[in-house]
Amino acid sequence: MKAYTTKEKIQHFLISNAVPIIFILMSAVAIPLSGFSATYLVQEMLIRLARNSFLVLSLIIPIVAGMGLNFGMVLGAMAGQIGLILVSDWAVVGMRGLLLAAMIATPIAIGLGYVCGAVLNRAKGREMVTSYILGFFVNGIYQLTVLYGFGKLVPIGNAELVLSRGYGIRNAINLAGMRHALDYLVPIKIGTLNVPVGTYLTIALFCLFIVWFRRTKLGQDMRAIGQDMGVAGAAGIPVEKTRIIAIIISTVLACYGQIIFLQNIGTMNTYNSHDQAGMFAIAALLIGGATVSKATIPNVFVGVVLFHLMFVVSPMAGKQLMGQAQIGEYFRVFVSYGIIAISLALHAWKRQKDRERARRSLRGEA
Amino acid sequence: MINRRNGFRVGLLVVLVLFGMYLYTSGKQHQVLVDNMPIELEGKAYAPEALIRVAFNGGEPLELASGDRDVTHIVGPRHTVKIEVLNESGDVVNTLEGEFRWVGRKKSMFSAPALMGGAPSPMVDSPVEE
Repeated sequence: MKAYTTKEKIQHFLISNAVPIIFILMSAVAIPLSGFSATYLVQEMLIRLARNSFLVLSLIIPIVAGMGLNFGMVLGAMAGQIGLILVSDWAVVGMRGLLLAAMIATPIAIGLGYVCGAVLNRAKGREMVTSYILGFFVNGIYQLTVLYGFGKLVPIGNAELVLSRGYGIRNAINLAGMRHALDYLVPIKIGTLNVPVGTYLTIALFCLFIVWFRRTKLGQDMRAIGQDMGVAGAAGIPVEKTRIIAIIISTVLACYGQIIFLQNIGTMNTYNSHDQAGMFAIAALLIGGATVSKATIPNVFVGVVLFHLMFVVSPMAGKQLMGQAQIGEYFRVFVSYGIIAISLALHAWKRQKDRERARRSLRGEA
Repeated sequence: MINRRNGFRVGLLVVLVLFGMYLYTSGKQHQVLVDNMPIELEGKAYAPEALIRVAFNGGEPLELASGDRDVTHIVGPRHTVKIEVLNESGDVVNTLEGEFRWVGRKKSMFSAPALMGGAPSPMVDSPVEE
């Protein structure tokens, strides 16, 4: 086989990391334009990294199992929100409230994950679009349950949560009793910076779980399925069952991720909070250099930092550049959705290039 | 069929339910009225102090003059309370610390004179319950 030249190596590196490189360059231009101080940006990144990392990490396991980006993670987010609504009604506050919300939401997330996994097994090769549409379907059921079931079928005693007609949950729920309950469980302040240590410890535990899980028999089975489902099936691995387990794990973790996300924000938009969870988590992961078929833990952290750096600086950069913050905001929204399209296109292009390189190296062509 | 595996599953479920109940009781927030008015309990009268400062579970203190009533939130079934008696210039002249246990919606008013006078429980019926 032919050894690669330096030019080819650089080309390969640039192609492999095209998305993070584009974002680093964009940030390098936008940060000085925004005029934000370094302390402010570091504080923002510390908070946003804690807020979003768990949600983004929940996407890794389905990628390992070859199921692509799990747009169905919104199912888990909805389960987490149901847990939070009930806990808010019962007025259970603090860390205990969060744990109770997670306990209530877990069986719901497992059930939804099972349904999602079973549906995706019937749509092999088209998992991403199927899970995306499934998200819309379950969103309808969620809206129906929360808007009509809560207060009628599910008793809700707290008048602050219920709509004036007597049933259905209000659009915004104040999570003041649980706000930052996990973030500042271990209160640490470095200079003027507040560090959400509790959430970082949880994220670190989750990272260790992923590292450990990949080495287990189940993790290896998922990897084998991700590489080739046919070969894995022939080797005696229960392909469909393993794929369902991958989605269940992802959905349950997304549920916990949403609870962590909302305790950081402190308010819950009952009918919209989960909508953006999947799209933004996927965009962040792709910006970190992950692809549809490969994602690592560093991709998550690089992605969250770069994506949210753009979130923070782009409105101000837009204001400085064009005189209107709204322009920067439009730009950010355009970037969030556009990057998913770019990443998918780049992934397809890279796969084609890789195939060509492999063919050429096997032939020994220059 | 009850084999070892199913037994373990049932056991785990029971543990989780018990843990959930513990989280509910220990994390539930209660609204409580804090009262500094004269009160009579079991035939004994308790007189209020002119000015007191009451803090529950090390939280933000409430300042109550004689005849005042305020509202606060406390979490869980066990509570510590610190009452500071203040003089006219606002200096602390006496401090009393105590513990009490309270759950549920009944007797949702904390009477500072009752605690300072050594009543069996500082929790009394609130005007809403009466």
